[in-house]
Amino acid sequence: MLELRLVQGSLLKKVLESIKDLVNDANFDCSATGFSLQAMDSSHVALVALLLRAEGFEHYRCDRNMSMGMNLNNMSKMLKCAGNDDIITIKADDGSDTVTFMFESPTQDKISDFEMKLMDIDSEHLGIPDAEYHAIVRMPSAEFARICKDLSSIGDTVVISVTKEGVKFSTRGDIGSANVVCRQNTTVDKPEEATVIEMNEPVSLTFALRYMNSFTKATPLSNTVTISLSSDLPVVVEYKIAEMGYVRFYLAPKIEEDEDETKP
Amino acid sequence: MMKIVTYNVNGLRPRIAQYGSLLKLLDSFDADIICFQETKLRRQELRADLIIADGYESFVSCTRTSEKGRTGYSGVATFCRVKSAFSSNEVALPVRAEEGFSGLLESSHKGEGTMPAVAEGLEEFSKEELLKVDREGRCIVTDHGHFVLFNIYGPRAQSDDTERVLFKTNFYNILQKRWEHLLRQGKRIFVVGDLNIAPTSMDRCDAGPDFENNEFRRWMRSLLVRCGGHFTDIFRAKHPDRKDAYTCWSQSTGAEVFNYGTRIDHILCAGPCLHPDSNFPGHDIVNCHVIECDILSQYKRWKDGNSFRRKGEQTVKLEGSDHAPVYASLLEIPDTPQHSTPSLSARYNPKIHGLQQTLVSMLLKRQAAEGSATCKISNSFSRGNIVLGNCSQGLNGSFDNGDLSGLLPDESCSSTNIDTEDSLLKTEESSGGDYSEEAPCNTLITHESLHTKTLHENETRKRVRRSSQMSLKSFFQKNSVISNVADSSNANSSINKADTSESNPIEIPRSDTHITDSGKYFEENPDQSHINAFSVEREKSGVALLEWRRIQEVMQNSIPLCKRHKEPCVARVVKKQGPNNGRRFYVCARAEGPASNPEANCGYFKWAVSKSRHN
Repeated sequence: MLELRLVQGSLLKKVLESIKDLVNDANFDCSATGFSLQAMDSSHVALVALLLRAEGFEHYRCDRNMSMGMNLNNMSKMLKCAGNDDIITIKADDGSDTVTFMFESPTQDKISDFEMKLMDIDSEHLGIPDAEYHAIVRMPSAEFARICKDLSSIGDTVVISVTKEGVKFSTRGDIGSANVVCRQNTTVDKPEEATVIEMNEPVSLTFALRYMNSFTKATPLSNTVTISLSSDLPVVVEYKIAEMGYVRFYLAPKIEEDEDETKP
Repeated sequence: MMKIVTYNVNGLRPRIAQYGSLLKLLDSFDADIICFQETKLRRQELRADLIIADGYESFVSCTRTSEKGRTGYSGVATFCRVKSAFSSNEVALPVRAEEGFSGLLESSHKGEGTMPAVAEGLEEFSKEELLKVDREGRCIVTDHGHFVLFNIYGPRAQSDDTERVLFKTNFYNILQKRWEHLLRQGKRIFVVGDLNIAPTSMDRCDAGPDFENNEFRRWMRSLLVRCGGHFTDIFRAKHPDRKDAYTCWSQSTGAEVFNYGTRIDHILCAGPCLHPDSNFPGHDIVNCHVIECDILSQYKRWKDGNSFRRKGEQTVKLEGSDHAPVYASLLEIPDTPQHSTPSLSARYNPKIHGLQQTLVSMLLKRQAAEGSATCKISNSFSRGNIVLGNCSQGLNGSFDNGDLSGLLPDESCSSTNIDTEDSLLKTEESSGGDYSEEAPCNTLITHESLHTKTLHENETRKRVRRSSQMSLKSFFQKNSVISNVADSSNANSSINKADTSESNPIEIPRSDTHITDSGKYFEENPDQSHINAFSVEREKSGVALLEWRRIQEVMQNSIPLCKRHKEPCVARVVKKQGPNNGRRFYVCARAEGPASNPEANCGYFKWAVSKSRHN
């Protein structure tokens, strides 16, 4: 028996919107500690990890560990039927073929049940290791989304370079090039507007903007985004979900084109 | 000589963008009559720059239906190159023009001359049916005096879509009645366009044994002279044996790479020749007047020398239509009596020229009309411009400064990067060296294997660089030179912890670098903790690296390899409605081609391991 009651239902809606373009279908794993997901995109280049801790739910009951395979597009269709203020409850019986999403309006005068068929998805759980990163950048998520969107109109890749002074996003395309530098800035009124850089070593890595842009679909989840970079590890783009957990995206850098080799 | 071109443009707007302007696109054919199909223009979107070009008269038909999925994808346009639109005796300038072929569309009724609208045998169709075939913007008929030209975009119908098959059947039946009617009147007919029918198995790359039995292919062959009909497929008449002559290639499968297409764009003609002794045997319009007919393959999107599309890489989108144009050149077509442009011409369409004008044309008109009055306005305008110019200069200046300051840290960044890389490489060498010296039990064999490994990695690294596909795999290959060493030392230190004599010598050179590194580190973060923490950190990142390599392997291995090339497949999702809708599957990533070509798509297919649970 599984029953998860989430007062802030819009959160789940946002989570789905943030990952459904990247991931086709995935297993949601429920345990006594929380509700989580780990999945790859269809080309197996990027990884998504989601965690919603049990404490964040108003009511969390999970009698035994369960793994529910869902088509995220279909799940998103169902969650779109929930109002932004609705309370969402996820329910499933042990060994059931379906999962039920219950939406309650805040005034309790409307209750809807949506039942969705589950899928059998064969996926291995990948233990993603904790690691120390050369540089960690925390910045306003909207700013990061804006930069990725802007740069993708000029080039296909973004070079993210972190120095003590700041973080630089640059691209190059047929029509020209672009550089955006965000300086370390902690003297702001609101902490979520700060740009904080923790750096052990300067790094400069290249990423496909196509993926970065799809990561920024998670922007509504959090005011800030944390980008952790190391020259020998995949980048982590993390959106914290207030008091509940996170959505993390992992992506390997592109190999920078070697100028000598491309010359004839 | 007269040249007729037919081209399924797959959207007129992108083709205009490709060539810079409609005029440049039209001029590139150097033809007298140019027939476009699939313009994808809706009536409300018709603008002068899309359909009006100097030196051409244009006749446009847009889709009128509001059926779901049928708006704004068809549409045909005929462009006639003329020197004068009035009192001209040029053949290219039509005497009459008509939208649709049922003779029922209102646009064909107004104006001076409508064509002899109704043909015999149309009574069996209801007015609704007749109107329906003409509502999708699939036909423009132009009467050029000596011949009547049909610019057709034939409907496409999946064999299991009964409604569309019926539509296609009606479309061609009504069309055929019209043709027969005209032929009985002694007219000559040219039918050009994308008919969406490949008449014989020779015209299709993957024709199966039943290919020619399809009702539409049978119908099209029944039109031809050799089957007792009236028409000649000019391309086949001129090139009876040419194989692999295709005009359309599937967009989604990269079929152009291996010329794996179909010939569905045609120029058909019927009727007597224009000679006075036209009744002699061997005289007909094809034998007497058509000199050449061929496919303009230079308009193909795919050019030899383009790189292969494979491995699911997102390559640059090929520019151009998925069709190639076909042309026919005619000889000895005499002038016609003097006539003017029919009223269907786009120049008379008030929606195009009457309502919306461009800013430039408006200002120009105003200038001419107002004369001295405009002087003042332009003065004040130019002053405003100067101010604006200054302003933008100022902005530019400040941006330049910003850029410079942005660049400086970048340089320092890259230089430090090189330094760290160097030191890393050094560490690797020294630790590698120490490793073999101090750990004699592992002797030369490991040393050699390490070496060959690095060599191999270097090679793959070069190859990887050329491809733009990023995957965790290629990323780890790049770093595996360093990580190899890290691995072995890590593994050794963790597994053989008891054997201190072996693990210690390895640790020594590494901790050396730690000290230099951490020296730097401490300058920056004086309140950070002690050296031990740092080496723990190092070890942790080594473990993380190992873990990530394992994850990578799992990710990579979970993509199936295709059976012939052993290359990773691409994942796709079923879009078709039905029980499998939304299901994911894997297919060979290569472009489709003939089965005989081992380089082409091998047809590998595998469902992704996820399916709906049974209820």
